[in-house]
Amino acid sequence: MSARGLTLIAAALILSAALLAFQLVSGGADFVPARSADPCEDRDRAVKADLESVGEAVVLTGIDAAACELGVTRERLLLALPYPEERAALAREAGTDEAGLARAIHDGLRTGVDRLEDNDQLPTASALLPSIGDQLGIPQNLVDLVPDGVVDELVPTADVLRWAVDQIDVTAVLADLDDPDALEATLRDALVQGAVDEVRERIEEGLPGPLQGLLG
Amino acid sequence: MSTSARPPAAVALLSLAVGIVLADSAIVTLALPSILREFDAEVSQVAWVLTGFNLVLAVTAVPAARLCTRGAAGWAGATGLVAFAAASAGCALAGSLEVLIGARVAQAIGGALVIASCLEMLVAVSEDERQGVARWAAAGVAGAAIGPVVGGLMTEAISWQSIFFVQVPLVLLALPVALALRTRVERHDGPADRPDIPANLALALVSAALTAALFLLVLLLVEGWRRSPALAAITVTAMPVAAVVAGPLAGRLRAGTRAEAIAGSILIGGGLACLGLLPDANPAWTVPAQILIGFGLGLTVDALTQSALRDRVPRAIHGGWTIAARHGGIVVGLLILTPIFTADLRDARVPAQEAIAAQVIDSDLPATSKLKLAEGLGEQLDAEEGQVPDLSSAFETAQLPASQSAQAAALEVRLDDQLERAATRAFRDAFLAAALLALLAIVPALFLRERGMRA
Repeated sequence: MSARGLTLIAAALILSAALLAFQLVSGGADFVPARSADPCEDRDRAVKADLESVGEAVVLTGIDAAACELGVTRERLLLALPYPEERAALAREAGTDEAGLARAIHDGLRTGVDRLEDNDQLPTASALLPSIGDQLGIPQNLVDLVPDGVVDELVPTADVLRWAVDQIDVTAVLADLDDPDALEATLRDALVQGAVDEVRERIEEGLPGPLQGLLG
Repeated sequence: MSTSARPPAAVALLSLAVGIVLADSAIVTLALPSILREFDAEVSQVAWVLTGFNLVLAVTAVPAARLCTRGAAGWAGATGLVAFAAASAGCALAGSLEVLIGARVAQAIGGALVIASCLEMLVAVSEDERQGVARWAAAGVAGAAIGPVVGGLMTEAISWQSIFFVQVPLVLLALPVALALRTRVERHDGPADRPDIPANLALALVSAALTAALFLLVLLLVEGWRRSPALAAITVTAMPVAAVVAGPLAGRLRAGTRAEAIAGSILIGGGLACLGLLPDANPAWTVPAQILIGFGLGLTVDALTQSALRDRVPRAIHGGWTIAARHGGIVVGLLILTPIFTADLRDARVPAQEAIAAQVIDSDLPATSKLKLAEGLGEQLDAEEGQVPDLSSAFETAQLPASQSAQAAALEVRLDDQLERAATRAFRDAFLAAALLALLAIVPALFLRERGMRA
């Protein structure tokens, strides 16, 4: 082969390698869909002082914990939940059944509350009062009458959330996932019931022994 | 041999006919998404609009060439031109995918007669055999390279049917030339030389790889990145322009057939690997890679065709072998690469869905807005199963409050980015496999006979 021929081949090699290297340096190998984060690692999550934000943080942190326990990604779990067949497939994949899946989610939600509490990410109940009043249709001027200290003493956010999580029938929630209104009502009822139960327990504990049966 | 019937015009019209027939091997590439939607078909079914044409052209090229060696090149050419024109009209009027594929098969049979006869006729109207062969090869390279661009622009401006309508009068322009030359083409009755196996094998491998460059790149631009066929057509113009520039440049370099073929294969392989490793979904990123491929195309196809035909008789049969090798290579390329990228496209769905879910969950929209969006996005992903979805309608249906429009717009950009990433990744393996096919062409190219330098 002539010197010109070898030069042409060398030029082709250099041009190809140079462009390939330039594209790789510019991120050519990494232009792929974002990979799901490890659900077992704590996420830095900003929680606003309103009920919706707290509810979202609890659910997402809980789903993270459930996904971690099941050995799948948070996104895989969330995408499978609305569809019974996908849910059953995911449960099989995780070596459990639908009841096991529901248990994992329930436990995950409890863990979620714990994590948020440990990380000091939960707002106080008094900070949440305006949005709770708004959700329940209680006028703001009435809400303002309640001293913050009393509220925070009577209904610590984390305890209320734990009560609420325990009230939720995860299996029923999963069955109603295709009905956002029913889902919202279930979650709201659980939260209100959790708050009422928590207040009742605190008041009962504060009453002298003979009066403790008064609240039924 | 020369003709008294205005040789420059005859050369131009015969070259145009060759260019049109070989452009047809890929001219519908940019129209495939429109055909896919019109006939409600799948990618693998629509691929037969390309595969059918190339397969039949590969199979019929040598028998058509044999016919031309019996002194009937003019008649064979005239018959081929009429058949090709009629079949083109049939393609334009096809009411179903089956009819379209059938008409494409008929087009290929007519096209094989046109290609084989035009080689003989171009030599007959040129000063010497070498010049005639060079014109025939150049017309083929130009047609194959420009075809997708023209097809894309016509699909966008008018319709995919217009691609075929316009071919009817254009190809028939060569009919008077073919009829005038019906008695002027030499007859070959002697024994035939054996085909140049290294050159034809290298041509087949390079053509298989080039299928990826055109077919996959266009699908990536139009279906993967959802760019318009017109923008895709303008984008893929880089390749034919580079191919046209490479021809004369190689002539000046005088590096030899083997070196040109090897260098060209390296450039095509390198360019395809670059298309497989794009760092962004901006069409501009494909241009440098296309330039490499275009240079490679200009170097290899011309050099290999010249090598396969040089000093071999009958010329028409060896021309037929090069056509059979090129279009057989295209079919092999489609058969190897289509399953790779369709499987990757299917596999890309779950990571894309998960990436989209993550973006929605982690966005700074309120939870109720996320739930509304998730519902619409899920419906959109289900509705466009197998294709890259357009997520904008999910944002329109969600009717989020105006106060959230900035967050929603930012989220939509991020979701589109994730979809583009998923689509680009889905094409990666097919481009890299095509790069491998191009590099494999180096092996037979090493065995090419070095027969002097190019003129």
